[in-house]
Amino acid sequence: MIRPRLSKVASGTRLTTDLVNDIINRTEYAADLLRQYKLVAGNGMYVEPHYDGTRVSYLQPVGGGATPRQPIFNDGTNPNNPATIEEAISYYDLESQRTIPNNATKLYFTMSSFTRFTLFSTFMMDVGFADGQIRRAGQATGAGGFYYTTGFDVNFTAGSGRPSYSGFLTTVEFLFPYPYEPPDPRAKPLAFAVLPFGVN
Amino acid sequence: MAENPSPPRLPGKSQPLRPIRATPDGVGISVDYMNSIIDRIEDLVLVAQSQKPIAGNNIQINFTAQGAVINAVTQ
Repeated sequence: MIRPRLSKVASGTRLTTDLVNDIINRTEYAADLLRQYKLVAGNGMYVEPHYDGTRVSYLQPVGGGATPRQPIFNDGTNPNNPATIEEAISYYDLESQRTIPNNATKLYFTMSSFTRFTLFSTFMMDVGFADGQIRRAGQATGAGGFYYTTGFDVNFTAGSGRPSYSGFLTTVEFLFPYPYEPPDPRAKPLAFAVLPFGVN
Repeated sequence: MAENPSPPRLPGKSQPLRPIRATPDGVGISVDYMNSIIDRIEDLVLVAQSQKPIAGNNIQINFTAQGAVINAVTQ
């Protein structure tokens, strides 16, 4: 509750119960604001108290400050981004790239590296989980006429963000593309991006 | 031994308050001192009101009874 601003006292003013209570109430109002504004880290963040302020950072191994790791795009046009899946695996310390019997490609994201991320691709894709469940990413038509997913948020907040999954997930595998299969030349993602949020 | 630097003073015109001493006749407090207490409290209110966290890029803030919870925006 907002408490009124305190007025200055004049000489001869009585130190009344009302005046003391006004002072107490105004002090408690400020204290309540400070309690509300105390910073608490949510998913993928951490709060580090310093004597001269509070630093908020992403929970990622960066050099300091709130700079998230940059997303990767394998569209092959940006020399600063991994151009191949192999480079992406190396950059993000992913487990491996494997080939399954139908020659579609899987990407394994180890949960020791990511707890949460969003995946975009120019193709629809099935996302398979270590417990055998499959989630299919959405699809929409882009301005350039090609297809892209609307984004797939795999929420793996430790201990609480996966109530619908059974067992302990240690690996997520991305199976793409869908629905094409080699040797169909369309069985190749035009581009994909991974945006990680937080690490274990 | 090196000492940690003192934290910066609260912004505003008020000065840190000093405890008062009791006398055999009781406690006396001047008008000036009462007004310095009031100034100090009003500065504290200004600091508290101005410290509400504001979300930056890719950040979301939820205000709860336990504090302001900061989350990274996922999409």
